[in-house]
Amino acid sequence: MAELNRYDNRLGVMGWLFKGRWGFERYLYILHRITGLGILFYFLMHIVVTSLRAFDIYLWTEGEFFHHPVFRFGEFLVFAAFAFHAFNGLRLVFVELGFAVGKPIEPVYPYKTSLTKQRPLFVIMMIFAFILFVFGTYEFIISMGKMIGG
Amino acid sequence: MKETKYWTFHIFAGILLLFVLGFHFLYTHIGELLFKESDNISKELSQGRDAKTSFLVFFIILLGLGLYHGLYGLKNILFEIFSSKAVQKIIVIFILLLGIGLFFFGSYSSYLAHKNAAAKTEVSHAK
Repeated sequence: MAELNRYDNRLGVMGWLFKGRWGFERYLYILHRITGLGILFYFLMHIVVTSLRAFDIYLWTEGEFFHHPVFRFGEFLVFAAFAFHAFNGLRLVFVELGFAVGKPIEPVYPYKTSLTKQRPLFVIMMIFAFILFVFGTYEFIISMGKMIGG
Repeated sequence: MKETKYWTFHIFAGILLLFVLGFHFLYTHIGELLFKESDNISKELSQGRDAKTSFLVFFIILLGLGLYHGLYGLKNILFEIFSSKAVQKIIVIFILLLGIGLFFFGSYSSYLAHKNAAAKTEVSHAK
């Protein structure tokens, strides 16, 4: 009897990047994960740094490192990640709860997918994310201007 | 069933975070637009916030929601990568310890900062 080839269907991290004909939403999902991990990493560091204020250490006002333009740019990236992650996450919640995916229909050829139904939701959420991103960019430019100008 | 509850709370925490973290950003980090003042993180302003009990409660809620949402998301990603049951058990223990440890560390530090700042405010009022 021929031996069965078993695949655990787990592609690992490389599977996040590319595997076949993926739709646009699949790449949003990857970006959602990457931004989530970035925010989590910053958040864990933020907890430790801000907790030091209990011992009267205010690293973000005293430390040279936190005023370096590279760190400030990193913070700007965290904010940009938050803007995307928050509104894409809200889109995922709506889809998970069955909003904006259309009503279930009989599978009659030519088949219709719910993907085209949820695209307007994606556009709306990304507009909100972009508005928030513009706020953050404005703040970043002003703070960098003050830093460079003294 | 248990996993469904955890997942539901993950979603719920995410929605709450949108508002809680949004407020934190607007109030503390995007001050230029709203208050024409980008230095909302100066030592004096930070201590002023710490002195208020409402901000202590706010920080603890933000901490709890952020840790739960973030670490549960991380657990899901790691479970997808590591399929071995033994490894998954280690992941759960590690994430639980990290989450609970950071929650108590952050909450206690916020409480200490609140106590110190409130005492300083009382002294300055008495003067």
